[in-house]
Amino acid sequence: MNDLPLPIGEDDLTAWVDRRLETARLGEVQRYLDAHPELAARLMRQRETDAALTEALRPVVEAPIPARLRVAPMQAAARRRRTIWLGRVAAVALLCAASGAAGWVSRGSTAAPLQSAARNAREAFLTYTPEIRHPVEVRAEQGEHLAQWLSARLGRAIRPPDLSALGWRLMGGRLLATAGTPAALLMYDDDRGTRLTVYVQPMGVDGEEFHLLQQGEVATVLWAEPRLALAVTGRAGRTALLRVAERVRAEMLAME
Amino acid sequence: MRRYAYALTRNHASADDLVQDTLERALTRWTLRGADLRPWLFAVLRNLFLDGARARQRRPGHKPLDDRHPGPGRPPEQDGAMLGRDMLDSFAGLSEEHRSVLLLVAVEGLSYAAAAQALGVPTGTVMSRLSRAREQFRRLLDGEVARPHGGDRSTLRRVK
Repeated sequence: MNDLPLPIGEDDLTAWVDRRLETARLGEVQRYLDAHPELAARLMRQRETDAALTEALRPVVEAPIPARLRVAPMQAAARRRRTIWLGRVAAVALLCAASGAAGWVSRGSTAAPLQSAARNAREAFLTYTPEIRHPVEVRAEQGEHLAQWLSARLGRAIRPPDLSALGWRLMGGRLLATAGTPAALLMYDDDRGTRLTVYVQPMGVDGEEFHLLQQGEVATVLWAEPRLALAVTGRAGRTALLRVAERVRAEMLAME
Repeated sequence: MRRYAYALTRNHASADDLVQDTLERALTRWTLRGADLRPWLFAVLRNLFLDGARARQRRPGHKPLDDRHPGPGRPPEQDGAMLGRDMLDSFAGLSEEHRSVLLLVAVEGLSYAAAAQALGVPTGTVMSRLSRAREQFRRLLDGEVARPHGGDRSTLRRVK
């Protein structure tokens, strides 16, 4: 390389103030500062103000941590929410097994809007997954646009869940007309070309709802979040769909 | 995190709200993250703060966040606390970008690369922003510029 030392730059001076210069460079910068006492004085003053700022904020660090900021209870609450939901999933899965899994199986009060959401989700799956050329309106490559567009049309933040850990790749999404607010349909496929859809529709429902609609091979797992109905539809088998549903739900919770 | 949140909001209750929101968010996304959580936690906290600030801007007439009395946990008659408050008042005159970079590097001790990650900018930007922030802060403290007007224009003379 070059035997001449690099000229002293702003970044050297910044690193000098932070005492983060490597030893080799420190000597060069120090010599430079010795030759420029006015600059050296200013940088020294910056070091002092850094220390004074840290000192001024010390009472915040020393103040006792309020109970609500302790991580353990928060973790416990998060785990509880998760366990309750998983319990409900397991219960529905059992119900399906017991009932031979035909038609509409529910945990929670059977709300008519949710039933129609489940039907919409199923119809959308049947209509759009066989499409070869136009399965989606906006492809996954335009992820940011897709999220913004759907969020704008649905009136709340929608980001397609990342299901790659379960082997499902996002293909893209489309907007669906419904009797109420428009819904979003997100389509995923796996390495064998199997497709599944995630259906999202804002509606006035609370949590505590969980349904399964199965006709033939196609199953729809539907549940309600606050002000949102979500459904996963596919031929992948109920266990796989439930795992997808669990993942979708975790991502939706994280987004709120 | 509480220190960073307090320095941004100057309000203990709002700072604790921010930290609580950050932690709750962090817990639900825990599994998505690798080893070094600090830059990411600071980034989440900062984004929540900025979202909140934007929301307050859209609702004018809302009381601005500021509880200078009492100061950060100390009786006001103490000299040290007075000095600290003065310090923080000057600090509040800096832009949010300048406050954040100073807090993350100088107070929290993040590496330049980690701060860059937290702020979502290149490392070079962190360093030049830091240099401007320090110079601006020094000027505010030394009374070289009027306090509430914390513009971004002061630059360290470039040394070639």
